[in-house]
Amino acid sequence: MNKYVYRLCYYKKGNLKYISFRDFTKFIIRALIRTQIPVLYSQGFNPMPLISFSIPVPIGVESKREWLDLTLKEKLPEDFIMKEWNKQLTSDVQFYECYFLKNLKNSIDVKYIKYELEIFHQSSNLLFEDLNIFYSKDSFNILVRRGEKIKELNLKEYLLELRIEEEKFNINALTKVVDGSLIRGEEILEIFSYRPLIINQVRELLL
Amino acid sequence: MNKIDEILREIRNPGRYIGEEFNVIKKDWNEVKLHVALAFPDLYEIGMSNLGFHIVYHLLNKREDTLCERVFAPDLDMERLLRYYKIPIFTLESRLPLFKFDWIGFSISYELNYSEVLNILDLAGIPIFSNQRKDADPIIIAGGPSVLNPEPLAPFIDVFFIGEVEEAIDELVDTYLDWKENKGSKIDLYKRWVKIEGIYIPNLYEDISLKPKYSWAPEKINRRIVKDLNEAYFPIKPLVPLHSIVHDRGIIEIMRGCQRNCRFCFAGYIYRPKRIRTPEKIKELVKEIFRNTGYEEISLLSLSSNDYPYIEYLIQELNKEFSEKYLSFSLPSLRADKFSLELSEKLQSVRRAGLTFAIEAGTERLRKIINKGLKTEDFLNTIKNAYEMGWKKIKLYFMLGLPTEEDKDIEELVELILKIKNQNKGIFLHLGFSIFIPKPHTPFQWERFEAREIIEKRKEYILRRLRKGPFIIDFHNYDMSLLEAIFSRGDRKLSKVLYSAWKKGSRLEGWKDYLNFFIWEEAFKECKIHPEEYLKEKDLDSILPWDHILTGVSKEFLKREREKAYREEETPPCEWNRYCEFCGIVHYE
Repeated sequence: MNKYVYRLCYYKKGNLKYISFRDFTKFIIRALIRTQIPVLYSQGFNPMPLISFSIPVPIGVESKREWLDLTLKEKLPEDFIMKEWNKQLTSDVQFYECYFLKNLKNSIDVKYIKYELEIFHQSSNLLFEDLNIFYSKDSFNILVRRGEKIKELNLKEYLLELRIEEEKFNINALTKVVDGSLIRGEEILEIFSYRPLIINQVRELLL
Repeated sequence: MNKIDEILREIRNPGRYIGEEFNVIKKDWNEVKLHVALAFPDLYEIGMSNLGFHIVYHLLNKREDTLCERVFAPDLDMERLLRYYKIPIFTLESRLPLFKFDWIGFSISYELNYSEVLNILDLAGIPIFSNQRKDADPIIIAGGPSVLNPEPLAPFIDVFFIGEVEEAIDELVDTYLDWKENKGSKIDLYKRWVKIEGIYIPNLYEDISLKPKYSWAPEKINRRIVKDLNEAYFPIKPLVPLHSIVHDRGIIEIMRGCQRNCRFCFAGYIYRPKRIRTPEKIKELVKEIFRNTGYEEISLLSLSSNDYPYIEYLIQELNKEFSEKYLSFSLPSLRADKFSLELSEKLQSVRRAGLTFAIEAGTERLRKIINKGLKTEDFLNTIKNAYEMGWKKIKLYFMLGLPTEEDKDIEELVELILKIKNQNKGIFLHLGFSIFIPKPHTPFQWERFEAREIIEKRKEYILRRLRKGPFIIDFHNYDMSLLEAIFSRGDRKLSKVLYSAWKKGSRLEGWKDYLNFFIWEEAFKECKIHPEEYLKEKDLDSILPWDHILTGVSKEFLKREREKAYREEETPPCEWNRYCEFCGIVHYE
């Protein structure tokens, strides 16, 4: 059977941030089935539409850009796929880019993650002081939870850029994915001795 | 960011409180005349799995003049924060507080949800007791299977709807809107509403005697019955949840009512007579529901799938049309026979599903008493065939504490399980044990609820004998069953206990981890009510708290069935126009 793979990117915002990634995938797959687009299914006892998602979005996090690969039985115009799928979704999740993948082995490879953290903090001076300390060090190890395990990561290896917007108290960060390992938005705040509270977190996955 | 958003960030499973499902209906508040908040007194994942709840939601919203929004019981973390920030509980669709609505309709299908009825009212800032509410307060309406014995909830509810609502809802709304336009008092409304079959307004009756206070209030309340299920409304654009729910699939009710006369089964008596949807209608519904939801599975709901007269044809037709679309079907409530295996085999064309049989009792004698009508040899053959056909894991459900059950029955039950294991090398059995609860409106409504010591003893015996082997064994929590048994056959006096337990903090008793039985013991003590009174065998001539509710099945028939049970005599399935036991129900064919 012929296979046609498309890579799509979408945003996810508003109330949809409160949905677990597992529930979200189910929701988006059902929307696809409603479109009647000829998707290819896996074989076996429990056939599933062939869709692969990029790194799961944690509950509470919005995203400007997420990725997925969709495999179809027929070749269809990219615009048509996006339009039909978007019709079945709420305005809080919409596709806005789609392209045909010529190389089927080219799986989703996220290289960078951008974070926008809207925070609550009492003193901006302290934030800048902590940031300077962070920059002055060669390494900055933090403990992170990954599933059942606690791992130690050097934040310096991951964090490429960090900016604090003084007026709004927003933190913008650009992080790198190192051998499949990533740093989460809230973990960046380990830099600060008095950890700010996150009001909202938005991420963007860059390939 | 508003306060509700702040709260959502702090709780577990915030997806329960956001709405936003596909097919959700949002209407302009000012464009309609009637505003209904439909409440389910359990968590979102349970309420959203309830077909009756969906039917009422869509039936009301189908009307242009009516808006219906949903609200579910909050989990403990959510309740704590709502109270802390003094935010009244709100509907999912528009986040409006419940006190703004004209009606609050509760869908109640389980006795262990009762405390959440009180909790939702309290969180909404609405007086809990019906007699403390003013004319400006919303009218509190309750329906669902549990209200076929409405008395334990009577002081909290303004209006009960008894039976099947599909055909009655327009009558209720039209009468209300007409009354609202003419600006009458609530009693004027009630005077008009009691003329609608199925309406029971507890405030119109004396507390203990349940005699009408007014000449216009009917002495007995007839259960409302949908005459033609095929023509009855069924939602074709069901809400597709974002947050995981217990039954996360499409549902189509293919048949209502059951002909089997299982003497313990509440549903078997309260949904009579048996009515069906035609295969053509079902196909049409499947098509629409699949198109509107994208569900990968649709459950063909009935109380006994084998008894749907066109079941083989239906499965064949559905497979023909939908297997290429990867839509699979499931049949609940299969009898443990060869025919079920054949049906299950046909259902596997898309996805492989498990096999479950509820044989209820381990001995033929007990199965005769409960009228389950299954021979041990036939059952063993069914399991053997199933195993040979490739089902290596099989679920079996049993009940403990059935009328006349003795230790010997449990010994034989264990022997039966061991025999299955020995006959089918490599089989894996998931065994579920619940406790028999005497339910109102059934032939066993006069039976006792088995004592804790006896159930514990039998449970220990089963666990000891089946300790080693390919088994998973689940026992239903005794305390939960005990409370369900008390409230199933409860009277109006029990409302005091319910109120007291809720006041002391009891919540979500249907969840094993949340049930605090100590609170209930304290509540019973405080109200000077002995739970034992509600658990013991009842005198056949005694007046029962639900005697004023008529399901259509006569009390004489129930007594006859009980006598037959004790004589170990079976009652054949009802075959209308061919064989009838004259239970009293009216058939509309």
